[in-house]
Amino acid sequence: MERTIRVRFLHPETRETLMVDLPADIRIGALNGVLYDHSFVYPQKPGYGFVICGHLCGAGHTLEQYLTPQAGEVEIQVFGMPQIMV
Amino acid sequence: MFSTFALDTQVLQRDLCTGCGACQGLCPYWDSVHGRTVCYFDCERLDGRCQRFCPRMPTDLDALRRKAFPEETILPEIGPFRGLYLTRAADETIRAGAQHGGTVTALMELALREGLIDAALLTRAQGTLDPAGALVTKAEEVRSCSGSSFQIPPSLAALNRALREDRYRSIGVVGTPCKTLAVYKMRHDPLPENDNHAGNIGLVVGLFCGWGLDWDGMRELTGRYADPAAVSHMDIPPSKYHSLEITAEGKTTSVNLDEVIPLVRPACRACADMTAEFADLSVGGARSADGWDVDKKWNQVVVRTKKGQELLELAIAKGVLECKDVPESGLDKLKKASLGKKRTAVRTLREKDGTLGYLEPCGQMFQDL
Amino acid sequence: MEWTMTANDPGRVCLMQGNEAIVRGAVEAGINFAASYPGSPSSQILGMLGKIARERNFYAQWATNEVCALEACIGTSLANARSICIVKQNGLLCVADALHCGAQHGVKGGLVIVTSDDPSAHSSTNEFDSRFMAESADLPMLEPTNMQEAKDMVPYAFELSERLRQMVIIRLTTRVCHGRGNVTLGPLPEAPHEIQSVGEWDRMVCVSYRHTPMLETLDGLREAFEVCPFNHYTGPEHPKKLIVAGGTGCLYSQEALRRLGAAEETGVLSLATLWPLPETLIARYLADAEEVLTVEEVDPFLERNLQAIAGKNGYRIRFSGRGDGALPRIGELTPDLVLSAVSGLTGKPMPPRPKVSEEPLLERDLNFCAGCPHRATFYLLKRAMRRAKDPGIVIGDIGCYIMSGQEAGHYAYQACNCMGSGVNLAEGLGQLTAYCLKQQVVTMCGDSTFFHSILPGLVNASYHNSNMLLMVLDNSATAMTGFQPHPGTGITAMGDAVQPMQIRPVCEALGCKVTEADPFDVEKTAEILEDLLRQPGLKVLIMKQPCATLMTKSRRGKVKVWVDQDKCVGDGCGCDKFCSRVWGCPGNSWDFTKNKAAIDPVSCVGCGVCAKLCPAGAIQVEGGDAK
Repeated sequence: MERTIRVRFLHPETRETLMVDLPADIRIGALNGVLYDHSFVYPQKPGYGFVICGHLCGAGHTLEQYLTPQAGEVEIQVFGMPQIMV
Repeated sequence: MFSTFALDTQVLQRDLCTGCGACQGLCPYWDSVHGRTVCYFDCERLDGRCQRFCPRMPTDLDALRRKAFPEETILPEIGPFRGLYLTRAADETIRAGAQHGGTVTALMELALREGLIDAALLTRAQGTLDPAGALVTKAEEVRSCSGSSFQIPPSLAALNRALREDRYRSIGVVGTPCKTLAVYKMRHDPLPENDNHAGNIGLVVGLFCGWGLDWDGMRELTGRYADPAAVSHMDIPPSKYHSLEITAEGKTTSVNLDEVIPLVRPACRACADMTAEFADLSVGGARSADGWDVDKKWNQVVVRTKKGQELLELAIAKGVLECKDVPESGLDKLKKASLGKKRTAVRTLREKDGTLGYLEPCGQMFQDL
Repeated sequence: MEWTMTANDPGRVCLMQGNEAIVRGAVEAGINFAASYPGSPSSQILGMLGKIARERNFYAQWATNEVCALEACIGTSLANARSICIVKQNGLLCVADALHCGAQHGVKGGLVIVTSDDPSAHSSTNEFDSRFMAESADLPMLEPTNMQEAKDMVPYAFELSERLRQMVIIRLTTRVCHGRGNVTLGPLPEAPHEIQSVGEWDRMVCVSYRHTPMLETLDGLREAFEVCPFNHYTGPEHPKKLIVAGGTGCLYSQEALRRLGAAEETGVLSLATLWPLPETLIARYLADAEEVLTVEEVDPFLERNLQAIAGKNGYRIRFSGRGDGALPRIGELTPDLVLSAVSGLTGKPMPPRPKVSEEPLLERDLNFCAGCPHRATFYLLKRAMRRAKDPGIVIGDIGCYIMSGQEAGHYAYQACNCMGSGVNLAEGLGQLTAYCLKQQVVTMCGDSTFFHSILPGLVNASYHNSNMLLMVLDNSATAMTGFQPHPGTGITAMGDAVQPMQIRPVCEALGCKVTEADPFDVEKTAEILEDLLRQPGLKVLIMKQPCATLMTKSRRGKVKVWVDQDKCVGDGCGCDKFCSRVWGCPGNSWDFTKNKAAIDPVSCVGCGVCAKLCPAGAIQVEGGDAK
């Protein structure tokens, strides 16, 4: 059975939150699309970064690689990813 | 879970890190600064030695001790048990520089001299402060590591480095319960593709432990009562004294324990092991009806394995250790004290998030507490 | 072979870069003085002027910063010298005060400011539109649409400048600067413009009541611009659909119309005189138009002015461009974007676009060069910050090291503003450490940036004893813009060897405690860094190691670096690809066949730092500087 995680995104500046249920095997990089679909942040060329418990997640990793087997929810801090000369 | 992420989020950020050093000395990512465990960069391995060795990652303590010790020797209150002894080093000069009876110093000296071990992983402190792990290879070097420090150093980092060299065939490791647990995890739950040369660990001597103290806080506290560079001894007498004794330049100052309690490392309150249940033998300060003035010069020793038994008997036979009778209530008192620490651990862990945290895999061991 | 810049061959057609065209134009104008601070996309201009200065008997200087450059030009104009100052859009912002004051007092010898904007900020931190400065300072501004115009505008601008006794701005953008096109050479003057003594009663002083005559000068210029040969129109006599273009917009629009087959019915008004705008000329074509598309870089500057003109004249026009979404609000124009907008204007369908591939292009982040000292610096800084009890604050600045804020530098800093701002952001934070901010404060600057704009900030930080560490990343170069000379290099734009200025004594003279370290000596420098971070007050740490790509960097013989794959732990526990994944040098590669690390011999420059850091000691170094 597919594992679903309740994700709470924290906006990089306003600290507003977005609550979404997502499959545990979602790619971290794909979370950008989720944010854009919900108009939570302005789409930007380098995309955004995602910080869980103070660790920047790898874009190619999956969400479940950052969760304990029992975890059902997670808070993700959206990182503005300022890229010079992108 | 990625290893560094797992350790950082499950252990460090939950205030469970004891600073044992088991995660260090293995790779460029983990280190320790003044007792603080730090991670420099993230590792992307989903399995690693740091996760496996950490004594505060979820562990089935019951399964582990069944692997390491015969089941019939295991007592629920204090772990594997073959006998309780009251000992002290026969050599006065050892006793003069020791924490209590000098038993560990005497045993490690003997083990090295007899070739039972070819190296010993000990702790060396500069006047009891800012201790560090030290690997000694000669019996004469053991005495420089006598005496305890309440700031627990990441000495297992030095062990890991020594193991990597694969130069010593039988290393004796002395450590607090968190460290000896990590060592047993090293031996019995290694990474399949890299066993860390754990087979080179020959002997494990555990130290009784109540808790460790914050490094910076201890230095500051000590500085208020003595010149930190001149401190030769620090001890905490039985609880009724409610004090910490600091000895510097021959003078002993008694500090109210109320000043010390706030410095207890938070991780230590989640520790369920007072007597270092994973060891060949475990040593602590004596507690008997003779009172503190006598007890502070003696040790109590719990023998846990055949190897430990043989070493102790050799020490007595060679006149390296002196023995005296253990009072009848001695074992019961020890059990009671040990259970007290387990209860504190269970309470601390349940307060965090309602579960037993890292002890969940062996929850049945703690269900009556 | 004779160089086109100084070739005495009028009428010859040469292929020239826009920047080269400016140089040739300046030579044909007989300039006496040129000054600049390097900045993309116009860094090449002063570089070339410096090379030919002696031959053509003028002075060229890489100034310490843009303010020095422009103010020097203002000074020389007092002696009737023809002076040219070259900046990029950020530089124009730096000289804003001098520019506005200069506009009020006017000039004697012609003064032309060439400002090069960087739409999309490919190599900048913002895409400021220089045209607003002309409007703000009431200065004439020209913008070429091709390389020929770029050359011809320079002597034209000088004559204009001397006639009006006012500075003139020529505005370029990246594709004009770097694009290449045919340019017909003009005649070279026998001698540069005549420098004259400054008379006792000559004046060039900025006073407020000169504002009125200044505005009248500009109004007068409007008439001249109505008939300026650089403005041109192609298309039907009374266009219903009109494109008004500036700069790159002209050629892009013409190409779009040709591709769409709409050139016959669509008018293109190409404007080179951007300020003041030739309103009568513009109104003449707006009068007939029903739809007007404005094609410009970057802001809807022209578009809004057109709307104002239309409004003044009571025209009913549907305007499209940057303002309404026909073209994007930000970023540079591309032929495809303009094609799409022109398709919308003319109603002609877009030509089919063959798709090359469904595969998305691999996105790679920027990285420091192989052997870059900054890689070592920021590796050490990250470790030092992680070792701290209360994680510190790091402030960035402008230079190659700005990339340290990305993966290349392990996301080093939390804030970064403009050039020279790091020391000031840090200074303020450093003062807050006395008000319960319990963090170390660290900032950085390069050696060129140090002289450019750090000095006043350092005076301020030292005088007020701010609790902070300034790392001067001294790689002996203005690396980011292409190794132009700066006061620490010991060489000038005209190739003279001079005494280089030492950063250490300058800092010490300002009362700073200075330490020097070599970032490649990782063990020692880690200790130095940690030791400094423990100390209160202002600390300066000079990280001294020449840039990896500096041609003059001394290298002792060939260096061979390779990985002993038997020792290499690879992705195993204890390493996990530390060299390629964490250290991240392009020279550290991965052998997929053996699942072990490997050195890319093409990229590796043999600095040897990865060998010092390899957890298994598997990287071997033979020969060269490495110990």
